Amino acid sequence: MFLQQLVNSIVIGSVYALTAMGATLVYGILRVLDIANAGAYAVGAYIGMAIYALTGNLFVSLIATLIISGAIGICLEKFIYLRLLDKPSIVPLITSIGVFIFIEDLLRLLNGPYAKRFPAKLPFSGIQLSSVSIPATWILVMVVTAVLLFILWYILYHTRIGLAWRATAQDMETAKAMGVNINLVVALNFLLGYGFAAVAGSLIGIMYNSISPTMGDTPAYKMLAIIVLGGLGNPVGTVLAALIIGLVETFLGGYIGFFLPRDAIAFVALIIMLLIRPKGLFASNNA
Amino acid sequence: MILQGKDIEKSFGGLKALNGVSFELGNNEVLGIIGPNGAGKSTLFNIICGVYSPTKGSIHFEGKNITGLKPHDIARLGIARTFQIAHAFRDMTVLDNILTALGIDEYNGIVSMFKLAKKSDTVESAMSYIELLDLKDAANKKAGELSLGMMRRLEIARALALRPKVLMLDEPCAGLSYDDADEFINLISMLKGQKISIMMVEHNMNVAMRACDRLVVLNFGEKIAEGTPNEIQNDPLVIEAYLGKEE
Repeated sequence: MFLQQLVNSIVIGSVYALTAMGATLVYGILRVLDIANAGAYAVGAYIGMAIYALTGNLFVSLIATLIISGAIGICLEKFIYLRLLDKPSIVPLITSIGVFIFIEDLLRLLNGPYAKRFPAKLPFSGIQLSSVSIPATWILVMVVTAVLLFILWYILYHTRIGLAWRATAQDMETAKAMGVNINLVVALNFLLGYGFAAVAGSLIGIMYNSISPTMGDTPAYKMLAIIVLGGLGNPVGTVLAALIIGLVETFLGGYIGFFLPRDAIAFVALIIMLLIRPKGLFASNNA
Repeated sequence: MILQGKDIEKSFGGLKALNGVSFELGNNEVLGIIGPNGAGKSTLFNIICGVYSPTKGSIHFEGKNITGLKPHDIARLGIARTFQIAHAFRDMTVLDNILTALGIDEYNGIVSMFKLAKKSDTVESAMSYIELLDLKDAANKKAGELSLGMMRRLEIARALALRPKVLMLDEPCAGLSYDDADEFINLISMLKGQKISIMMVEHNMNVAMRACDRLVVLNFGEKIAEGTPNEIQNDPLVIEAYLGKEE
């Protein structure tokens, strides 16, 4: 039972990590709380389903989801966020909420308000280890998340653009003086940020075999709790915070779920965190 | 002559921060820009580095017009800068700070951006800048943990890692102790030996007099004098600007 819960929480936590990573990256560079990133989550689920229906290839559909949603992210960046950077930070925040609502309603208009199925056939089957059963979809979620987060970590800590990203996150003016082309860094940021959230949406759609226009609602709020816990704009902190929330939700949810809904736990954690450590569990000191 | 400004004018709203300032920086020369507070020194500095574009006038680097180019383009051409308030990447190690600068030629290409940043020869060349500025013991410390003097040295090491032809220093001695400032002047003469032209904005007269070959004096956005430290020291207009007119 314990092991089963543990696996369960890792699956939940890894999806949270992937979902919150986009907002973390955007906040890290632009200091904008990007609620619209959770829109990419729902968009990704629909794009993933459409391409899967078209090609029947799961791998292709996930990659295409990442790229198409990433391109949408770049468009939002170029046409909206970059133009609002010199405004008070409340302006891009409200804008991103508006974009999020727009995306949800656009999906509703295009696809109808009801949930649709996302029946993906996986090329492998689940595992049964004595008392622990791991369905194939869970394995898919864990593997895809691990691969994407590893690629991100590798880019951030081992490549030129990663150094440039971290430098830009700390001090944009100085990064420019180092010859860093901020436009490229920010574009890559949105490509990966929106792409990751979209893949997370696709994975959740596959896992629950259900997608709907409003599926980004809860992730939008929960993402906020996670990126604050993770130290706002700290990618490693976000992964840890996501896993912690996954664990707490799964284990506590089993015991106190009868009076506190599972989805509320992240926010209780957020409130406690803001009271005792407002910079988050894994605050970096560049804020 | 490597860097030249012609009749630079800059207005912010109705306020003229610079009014027809020209300067020339010779090869392997150390040129100081001095003047009282609000004289326009930092504005001139930021115009050269591409932070602002001038309202009128032009900047030429090695004969090329670079007026209005973006900061990252200017850095890539070979004009490196430091900041008045130390701007190290505080959460990154000293080594990573230098590695960031060493990537300067590769931040514009979609493919070259993904090159590995920590190949052994790159790290080696980063260490050479770290050793040059005597920061070896701190190489793996986070920049935020350094003392102000060390952070300034880190900034200079990082600027040198851009392999510039012109080094722009914005009040490099502000806040430094007397000894640190002394060490800085030695550093400047060492850099001159490495064929780097230096332009520095300096508030500290003592440092400017000792470190620079030539000085340009600004007051209220206009150039009021230009010459060797000796000439400047005895220029009545300069004395007036700093000390006020004798009754």
